[in-house]
Amino acid sequence: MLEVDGLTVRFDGVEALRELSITVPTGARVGVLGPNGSGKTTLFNAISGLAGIAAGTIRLDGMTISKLAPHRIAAAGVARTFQSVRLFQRLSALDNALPSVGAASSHEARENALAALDTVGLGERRDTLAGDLSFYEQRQLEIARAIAQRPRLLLADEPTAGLSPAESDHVIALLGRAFGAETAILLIEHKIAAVEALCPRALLLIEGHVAADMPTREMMSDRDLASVYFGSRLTP
Amino acid sequence: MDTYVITVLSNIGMISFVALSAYILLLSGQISFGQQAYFGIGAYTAGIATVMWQWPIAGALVLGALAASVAAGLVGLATLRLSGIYFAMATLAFAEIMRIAAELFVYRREIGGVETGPDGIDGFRDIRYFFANDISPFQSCLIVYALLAAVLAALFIVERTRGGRLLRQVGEDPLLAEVQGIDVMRVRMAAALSAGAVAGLGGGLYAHLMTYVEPRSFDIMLGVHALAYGLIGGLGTALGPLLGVLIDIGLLESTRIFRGYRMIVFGGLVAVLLIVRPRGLLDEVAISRIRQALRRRRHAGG
Repeated sequence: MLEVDGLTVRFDGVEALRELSITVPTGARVGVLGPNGSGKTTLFNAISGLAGIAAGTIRLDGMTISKLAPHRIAAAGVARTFQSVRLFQRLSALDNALPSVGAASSHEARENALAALDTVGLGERRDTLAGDLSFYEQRQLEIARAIAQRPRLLLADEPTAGLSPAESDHVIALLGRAFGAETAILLIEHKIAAVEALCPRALLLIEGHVAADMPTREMMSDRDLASVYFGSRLTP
Repeated sequence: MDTYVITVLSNIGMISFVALSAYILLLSGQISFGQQAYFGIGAYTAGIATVMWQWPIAGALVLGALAASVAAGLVGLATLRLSGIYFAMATLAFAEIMRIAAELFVYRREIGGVETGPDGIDGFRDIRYFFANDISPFQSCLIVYALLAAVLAALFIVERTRGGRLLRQVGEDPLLAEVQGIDVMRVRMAAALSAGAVAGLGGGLYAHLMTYVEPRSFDIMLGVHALAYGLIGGLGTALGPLLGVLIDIGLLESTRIFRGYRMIVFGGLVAVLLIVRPRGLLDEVAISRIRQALRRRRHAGG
C-alpha cells in the first residue's frame, strides 16, 4: 500500500505539488489525470526519489521511502516507465530487462527477465540492441523491464504516448494482465479510454493538489470536472 | 627476435594498461584526463619497493597497483559526484598535482654503497631489477603480455557477468540506472578503484622495463592518448582500446610511413572518428552484430 501524506515539492519557488495526500491500496489500479503542468510527473518523480521533497512523507507497505536514495526506493518495490521512452539503447533487450532488484540471484533475475520478455512478446528479440527496436517494441520493453522487477508499485507515465490506437489498447491490456494483485499501478494517461479500461479509480490533479478522487466513470460523467480537463469548449 | 621489435611490443603492452584504465572509466560514463597519475604512482611505488626495500618484483607490482587503486579511491570520493567536464577537469588537476609532487619528491638512500632513489625532477633512475636478475628484454616483454592477458581475461569475465552490465548501464544513463535499483556511486567507485589498479600495474611494469621513471613519463599527453585509444579502437569490447594502441604505436609511431607526422595523423584520426563513429571502430553496435553473426553461424553449423 502506498501512502502519500502532505507531499509538497517546490521548483524555484513554484509549488509543483501542494500538500498532496493519496492512498493506493495493494493491487489497486489508479489513473492520474490532469492538465499539463498539474504535477502528475512530479508526483511520480517524488515517489521514485528524483524530486526533492519540501514537506510530507511517502510510505510503501508501511516503510517510509521519502528520504531514501532512488536505488533504495526501487529496491523497496517501486518501478517506473517514462513518458519519453527511456532505455539503455546500447544494450540488448535482455540486458535492459534484467532486473537489479526483486530477484534473489542472478539466475532468478535472468529467468524473470526472459519470462517478462515473453510476456510482452519480445522473446525472439532478446539479443537485439534496444536502439534497434521499433518504437512500439521499445514501449513494450519498458514494460518488460518493470515486470521483471516484480514491483509492489508501478508508476506508468503515459505508456501509450506516441502509439497508434490499436497499439495503445495492447499496451493497456498488457499492463492489466502482466501485473498481479500484489502490484499497484498508478497510470498517467491523456487517453481517457485507456484510463477507463485499466483503472476503476482516478485522481484529478490540478495545480499540484488532488481536485478529485473518485471512480473513473463518475469523473468522466461529471461535467464540471470534464470541463477542467478538456477545457470549457466541450461544456454546453 | 629483433630488439627494436621487442621494444615496440613492450611499449604497446605497457601503454595498453593505461588505455584499459581509461576504458573502464569511459564505460562507467566518466571521462578522466588523469589516469596517467595512477600509472605514475604505480611506477614510483613498485620501483621504490624493488630498489629501496629489495622486494621481489611480484610483490612490488602488486603494491604499485594497490597504491594506485587507493589513490584512485580517495580521488573518487572527492570527484565521483561530478560529471562531464567537471569530472574531467578535476581528474586533470589531480594528475598535474601528482606530477608536480613527483618533481618535488626526493627519497634517497644508500643501497649497496650507491645512493639511489627518486630524486625530484631528475626522476628515479637505476631500477635495475630485471637486469640484476638476468631477465632478458624478451622475457620481460612476455611478463608484460602475461599480465595484460590476465587483466583482459578479468575484464572479459566482468563484461559477461552482472558487473559489466551495471557498468554500461551506469555509463549510458545514470539516472535510469539509479531508478532501476542500481547504486550508481558504488558502481562508479568500483570502476575507479579497478581502473586505478590497472594503470598502477602498467606503471610498475614501465618503471622496471625502462629502468627509470621521471615526472615527465606521466604527463598529460599520456592521459590524453589513453582516452583517445578507447575512442579510436571502440568501447564495445576491451579489445577496442588495444586496437587503438596498436594503431597509434604499432602503425604510426613505430613504422617509417608517418614519421614526423604521427601527431597530425593521430589527431586527425581522432577527430574524424569522433564525428563518424563516436564510440570507436569496435563500438557496441559492431560488437552486437558480430556476436549475433557468430551465434547464427554456430546454430547453422550445429
